[in-house]
Amino acid sequence: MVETGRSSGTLEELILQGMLYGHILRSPVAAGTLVRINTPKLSSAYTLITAHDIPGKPFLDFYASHMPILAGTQVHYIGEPVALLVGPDRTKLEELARATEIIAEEDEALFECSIFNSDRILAKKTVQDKGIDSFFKGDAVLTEATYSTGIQEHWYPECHGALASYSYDKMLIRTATQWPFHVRQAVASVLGVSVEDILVEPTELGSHLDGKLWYPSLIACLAGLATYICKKPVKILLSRLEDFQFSPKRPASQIALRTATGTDGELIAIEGRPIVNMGASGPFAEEFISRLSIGALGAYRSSHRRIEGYAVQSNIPPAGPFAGFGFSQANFAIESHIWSITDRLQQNPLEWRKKNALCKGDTLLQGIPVRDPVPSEALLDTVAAMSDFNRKWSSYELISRYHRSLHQFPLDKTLRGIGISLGYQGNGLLFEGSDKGTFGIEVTLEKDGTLLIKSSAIVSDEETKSIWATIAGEILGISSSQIAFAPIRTDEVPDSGPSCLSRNTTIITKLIQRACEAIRKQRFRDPLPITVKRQFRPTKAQKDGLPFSMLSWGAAVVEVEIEPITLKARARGIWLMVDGGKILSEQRARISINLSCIHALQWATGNGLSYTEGIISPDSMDYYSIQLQDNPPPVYLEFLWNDNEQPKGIGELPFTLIPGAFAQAVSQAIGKPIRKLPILPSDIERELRSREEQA
Amino acid sequence: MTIPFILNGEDVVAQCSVDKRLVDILRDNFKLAGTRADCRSGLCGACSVIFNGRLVPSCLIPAFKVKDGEVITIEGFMQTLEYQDIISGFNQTGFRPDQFCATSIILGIEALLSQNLRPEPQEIYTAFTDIQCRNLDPNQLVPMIKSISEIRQRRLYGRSA
Repeated sequence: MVETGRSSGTLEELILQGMLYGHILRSPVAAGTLVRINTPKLSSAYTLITAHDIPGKPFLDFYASHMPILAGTQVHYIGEPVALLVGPDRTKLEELARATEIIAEEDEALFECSIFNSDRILAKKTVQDKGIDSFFKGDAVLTEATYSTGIQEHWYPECHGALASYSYDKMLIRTATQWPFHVRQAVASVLGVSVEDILVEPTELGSHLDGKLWYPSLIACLAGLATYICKKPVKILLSRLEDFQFSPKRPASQIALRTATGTDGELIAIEGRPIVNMGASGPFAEEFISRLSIGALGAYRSSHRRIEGYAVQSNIPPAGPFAGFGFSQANFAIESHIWSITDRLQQNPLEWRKKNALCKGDTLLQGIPVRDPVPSEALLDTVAAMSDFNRKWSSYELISRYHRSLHQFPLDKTLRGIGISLGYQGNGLLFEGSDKGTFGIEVTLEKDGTLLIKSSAIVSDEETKSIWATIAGEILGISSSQIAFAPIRTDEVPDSGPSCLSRNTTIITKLIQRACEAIRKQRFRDPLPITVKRQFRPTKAQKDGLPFSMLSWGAAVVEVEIEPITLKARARGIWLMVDGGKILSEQRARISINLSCIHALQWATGNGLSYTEGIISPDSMDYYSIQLQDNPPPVYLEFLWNDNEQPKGIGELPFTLIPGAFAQAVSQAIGKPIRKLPILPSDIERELRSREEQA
Repeated sequence: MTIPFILNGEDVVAQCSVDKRLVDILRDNFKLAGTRADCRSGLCGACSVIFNGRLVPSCLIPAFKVKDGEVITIEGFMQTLEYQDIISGFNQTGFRPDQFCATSIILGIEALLSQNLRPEPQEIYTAFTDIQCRNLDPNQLVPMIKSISEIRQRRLYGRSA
C-alpha cells in the first residue's frame, strides 16, 4: 500500500476470489506416536488434510536429511505440523482448531545436547592431528573453557506464509522466500508433479536475516497440497505467536576450546569441540557444523589443530540460519577465549592478535587456503586508533586488577571494559551439497536499446538492483533508465540459486558484469536482440569443500559500561573497520553494517530467549523486543579502501565481530571471563558472586 | 452495533460487534489493508493508526472505543503534504523501510512531529520503542527525523531550524 519503491506486495494483501485459508494443527508433544486427531463435525466447506493425503513424497528433501511435511505416525517436536484444516472463514477455522483434540502417546523427549548418543548425530566434522596431545602436556600455557550461545529470533517483517492457486494448468505459489527454485522443487516433489507444473512468484521479502531460506518451502508445500486437494486458492499465513514459537531460530551451540600458547603468547595448538543443537530434522546440519568448526579456530594461525564437531538432533523445532550458518557463534567462542589467554599472560589483546593473525599463505581448517593478503594489522591498528583502544584498555585493566585485589567488587560504581576482535566472513558458496549445481543469469539487449536482466536473485532492497544497473550501464554505455529487471517468476527467469551468504554481491554481480561484457563485444557484430547467459560453475576445489572464493575481513572494538545495582551491560560505543573489497555503494554498505551491529548487539544483550521443555513460552513474546532504542550506542564505521576490484559480502561481519568484543569488554569490567551469550545481568551477578566465594 | 466515526477526514459508519477490533474494522469494513494485522496483541506496532491525534495499535482498540473518534490510517495520511515531507526525508537519508513496517514508521514519525517539531534524541527513541522493525536503526532514526523536521519547517515557515 505504501509507496516505498518496491514492486512486489506482501502476502497479507493478496486476497483471491473464493480463497480458502489453511490452519496448521500442531503436535502437543515433543516426541511420541500420533494416535488420532479428533475434530468436531466439519461442514462440507471445511477439509482436514493429513499426511495420508500427500500424493508425492511426504517430506522436504535436504540432501542429507528429510523433514516431514505433515507428521505421519511419529512426532518429533512440540508444534510439528500434524494436519491442516482448510476452510473459508479464518475465525471459524481457529474455533475448529481449538476444539480439535490431537491425541499422541508421549515418549521421552531429548532437548539438550551436552550429552548425546551417536544416533542423534546429524552431521559430524573431524580434523585430526595425532601429535597435538604432546603440546597440551609440555610447558605451554593451557587454557580450557566451554562457551555457549543461545537461540535468536529473526522477527522478519511478515510472518511465514504462502498462497497457492491454479493459473490455467499450472499451480502458482506466492511466498516470501530467498530461494524460489527450492520452493518449486519442494512443492513439485510433494505433489508428485513435474517442476514445470509449478510456478513460484516471490512476494515482498524485507529484512530476512536468512530466516526465509528453507522454511517458506515447507509452508508452500502445505498451501500447495491444500490447493491440490480442494481445487481452490489456499492461503496459509502464520500468526506472529505461531511464527515466534515454531519457526526456525538461530541454533544454540556449545563450543569447548582448549589452547596451548607459548609464554610469549604465540598460539601453538588449538583443539575445538563445537556442538550445535539443530532441533528435529536439522536441515543444513552439515553446513552448520562445517562453518562452526572453521569458525572455532578464529582468524588465527596455529600449526596444530584438532576439531571434533557435531550437529545434534533434539526434540525442539528445527533450527535455521541467522545471517550465516553458525560462523558467528564460533567466533564469539574463540574471541572470548583469547580474553582468558591474554588475561593470564597479562598481554595487550591487540598485540596478541597482531602476532597470531592469519597471513596470506596460511590455511584455514581442512587446508582451505588464504589466497589474498590479510590486512589484519591495518584493520586492528586503525580500529584501535579510532576507539583510543590502547589508552582505554590500559586504564580499565588497571582498575579491573585493583578491583580484583579487593575482597568485594564495588557494585555501587559503574564498571567499564573494552574488547577487541578480529574476524572474517567467508564469501561464496554453501558447503556440502546444497549449492553444487550451476546457477545463472540472462541478459538481453533489446532492439530498442534497452537492457533486460533476468535473475531469480531476491534482493531485500532496491539499492542492489540500482548498483547492478549502474554496473551494466557503465559497461554498455547506456543510462540506468534503459535497464530493466524481469519480474521474478520461476518460468521466466533462470535459477540464480539461494540469496544468502552475500551471493548477490559476490556471484550475481560478477555474472551480470561478465554477461554485459560479452554483449559489448557482440553488439556491433550481431543483430539485436542479443541474449547472453552466464552461469556460475563451482570449481572442483569448491565442490570438494573449499568454498571460500574470497574472504572479507573486519576488526571491531566495543566499549561496555555495567550499570551499578541493575548490573546491566550496555555498549558505550562500537568501532568497526571493514575490508569489503570494492564497495559498490558506501551509503548502502554503511546502512547495512549499522543495522547488523544493532542486531548483533541485540543477540549479545537480548532477552535470553530459550526453549523450556521443548517450547518457547508464549509469554516470552510479551517482553521480547528486537529494538535497542534505549540509548543505542554510537557506531563508528570505516572501510579499508584499497585497489581490490572484487566486491565482497560484509553484512555478516558485525555478527562475527561484535558479540566476542562485547563479551571481552564485560569480562574486563568484572574481572571474570564471560562464556555465554546473551549476557544477562543474572550472568554478571553469578560471575561476581563466584569470584567473591573464591576470594 | 452502529459505530460512527471520522476516518481519514470523512464521516463514516461501521456496522459491527462492539468488541470487533479497529484493525479488523479497517481491513474488513473499509478494505484499508495498509494497516497490518500481525501480532494482534499490541506488541509489534504493525497495525498502528493515529487515533484522536495519538499513535495507537489498532489491534487493541475495540469498536465501542472508536465511536465518535477520529482515525487516520496510512491511506488517508498518504494524501497529505506531511506524508511528502516524510518521504523526502527518507530519500534524503537513504532510509528504506520494509514495505510491511512502513505504515507504523511513517505514522510514528507523524505522531511524534505533530506533537513536537523539534524532538530530542531521547524522545525519538522513546516514541519508537513499541515499533518492532528489523530495518529500523535507532542511530539512523535521529538524523532522519531531524531531516524530516527541517523539510517540514522549511515548508511551513520558509526556513529551517
